[in-house]
Amino acid sequence: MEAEILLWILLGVYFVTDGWTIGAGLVYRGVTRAATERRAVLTSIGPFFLGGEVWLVTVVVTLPFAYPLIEHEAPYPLIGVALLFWVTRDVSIWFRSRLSATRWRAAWDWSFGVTSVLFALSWGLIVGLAVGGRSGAFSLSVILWTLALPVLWAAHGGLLLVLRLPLELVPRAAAVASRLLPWAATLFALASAAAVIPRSGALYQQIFAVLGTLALLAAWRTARAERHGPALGLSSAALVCCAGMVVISVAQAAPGGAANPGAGLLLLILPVLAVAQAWMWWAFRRRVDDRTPVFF
Amino acid sequence: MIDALSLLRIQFAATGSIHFLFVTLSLGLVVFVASMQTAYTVTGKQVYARMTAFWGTIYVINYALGIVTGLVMEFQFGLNWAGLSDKVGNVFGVPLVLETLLAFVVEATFLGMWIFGWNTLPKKAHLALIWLVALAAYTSAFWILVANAFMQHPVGYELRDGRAVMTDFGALVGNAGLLDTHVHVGFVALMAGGMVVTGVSAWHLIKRNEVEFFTRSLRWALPVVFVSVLFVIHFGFRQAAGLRDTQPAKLAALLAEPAPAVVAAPPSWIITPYQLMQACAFIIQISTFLCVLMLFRNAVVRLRAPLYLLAALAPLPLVAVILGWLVREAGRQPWAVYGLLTIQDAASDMSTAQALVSTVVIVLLMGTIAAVNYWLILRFARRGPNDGLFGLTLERAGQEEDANRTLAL
Repeated sequence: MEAEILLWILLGVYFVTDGWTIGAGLVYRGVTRAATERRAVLTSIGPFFLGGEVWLVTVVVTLPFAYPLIEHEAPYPLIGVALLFWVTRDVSIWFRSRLSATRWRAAWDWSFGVTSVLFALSWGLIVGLAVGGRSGAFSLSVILWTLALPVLWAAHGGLLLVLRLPLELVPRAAAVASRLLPWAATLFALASAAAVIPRSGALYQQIFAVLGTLALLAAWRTARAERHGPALGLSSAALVCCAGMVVISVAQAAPGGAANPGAGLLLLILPVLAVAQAWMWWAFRRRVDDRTPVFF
Repeated sequence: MIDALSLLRIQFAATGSIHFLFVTLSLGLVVFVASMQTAYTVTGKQVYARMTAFWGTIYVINYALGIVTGLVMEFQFGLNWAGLSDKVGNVFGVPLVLETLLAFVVEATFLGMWIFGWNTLPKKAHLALIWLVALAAYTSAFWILVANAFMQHPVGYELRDGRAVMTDFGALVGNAGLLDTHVHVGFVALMAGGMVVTGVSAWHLIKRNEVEFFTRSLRWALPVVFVSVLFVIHFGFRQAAGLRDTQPAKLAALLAEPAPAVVAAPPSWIITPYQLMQACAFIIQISTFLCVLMLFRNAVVRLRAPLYLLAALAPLPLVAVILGWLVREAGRQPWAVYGLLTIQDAASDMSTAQALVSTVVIVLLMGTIAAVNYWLILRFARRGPNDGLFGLTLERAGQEEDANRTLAL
């Protein structure tokens, strides 16, 4: 049980926090017109970028530690390809503003957009295979998940941009988020229904599916009411539900099913990390403006 | 025809070497940047703020590749070396998990805050951030070396059903030679960071560019390099001496003595990188000793000749880092975990074609981005502190962008 809770927290925080960067990459083209506007988007996610993606490293390291034999089950080539997209996305963000040449920046902007899409699709596929892939490689639910997670992330990233972008860019981000949220809710509901309804003994996953769908419907309503802060909280809740479904499936599929008893001790470290990250979110809660320092 | 195992070894060696080059420099530079920022916070002198921004930018550009290659290595353990996690994952995984949770998360979180907190966070909080980043970085290095020390000399475990299970955490963190290695690596990083600061400063001083700024930078870094290299050499030899108990065959190979009776001996060629590494250290030791003496009345700057020497030597510590890493890791062969698991058994079950594709892709990708990153660092370093990046605001960045576009048109 402790191993599941630990992994759920790590993966959930990853989905939420790197979801900002992935989502921003997905809506990058839709929200921006000029290179200066793209710089504003990168500045909005900038302080959270490193502190967000680092959670995936904790998942990657903790998963085989918590479930020692899990690696025999992993879809190797898919994970390898996703890793390449991830690396290229990171490099695009880091390299983009290091030269001022227009073409250099345009090329990395393009690369950031494309690799974000490919990375999000790979993640959708991985989640689909984990949650709904037992009954054959490419079932309906796998395809639905491959679409649902990227759309959810795009809406989630859009909501963060509404809160962080300079005021003049907010209407575009808000429009993108409102347009995507009903799609996110529908796809999430269909994908999780296809994955967990036919299965017996999946009570917790069914609860997560219902809660996630409700959270996204509520996010849609609150976003339409221009309350984007609570909407971001609700899209985060849906991503945490998604992570919960993945972790339950992984734990069930773990060969032998036995979890490492040491995993529970690691839970004790998490409050320290929570303080560090809470400080980061608090310090950069305000909107980006002309005087905000840039880097990426 | 090359086999899957050799390909996977090439892939890991390439990623690991690139990773090591960048993280060593990050580890060293962060201490200089934090010290410079401390000087600024205490004295309020602008020159220290400029030094922090200039060397800090080089540090952060360099940092990117450390992260990216680190991510790839973390995945390689799982994807390419499944036997390792199978057999010893219960022990080997502990320091890796602790590294990410106790060090890397903190380091990445605070570094992001430091980069974007420039001129917006309170001065003392901003200073605290860079010191926390530095502390986390050296903690991170410690846990990675705990994992590596286990591979060199497995302790604190018991075999149950053929798999290692951790029984003694204390033995793991108190492993033979671990402290020597950590101190060695820490001073190697200071030496490497210091030589880059010294070398770039020397290059600008040859051109009499920003003389006050770079003289001060050089005077900060040069004595640190000289002191560090003494520790590097001392703790290097201590590690070699420790091999008599832990890996006698490696020591025999390094001293070109006949191998003692062991199951498997490492390749005899490791003596070459071992001797070259020592040569690098002694060259740095003698050169920096002479140059430190010439700090008297700034002779090192006025005479010019020492500046050429220092600029030329800047990459030497990084060469030594790769050589030392080769000695340590190739000297462990044919074991992945000494005496417990061979690399053959550690490698994942993979077809040659699959190993070939992944190795070619990874080596090309990592090699290319490492080259681009070094080019970006050199370009930034050459332009000097007036092209300072930190503190640039969104508004100014936008104006520069517009100016560029007009120019391009």
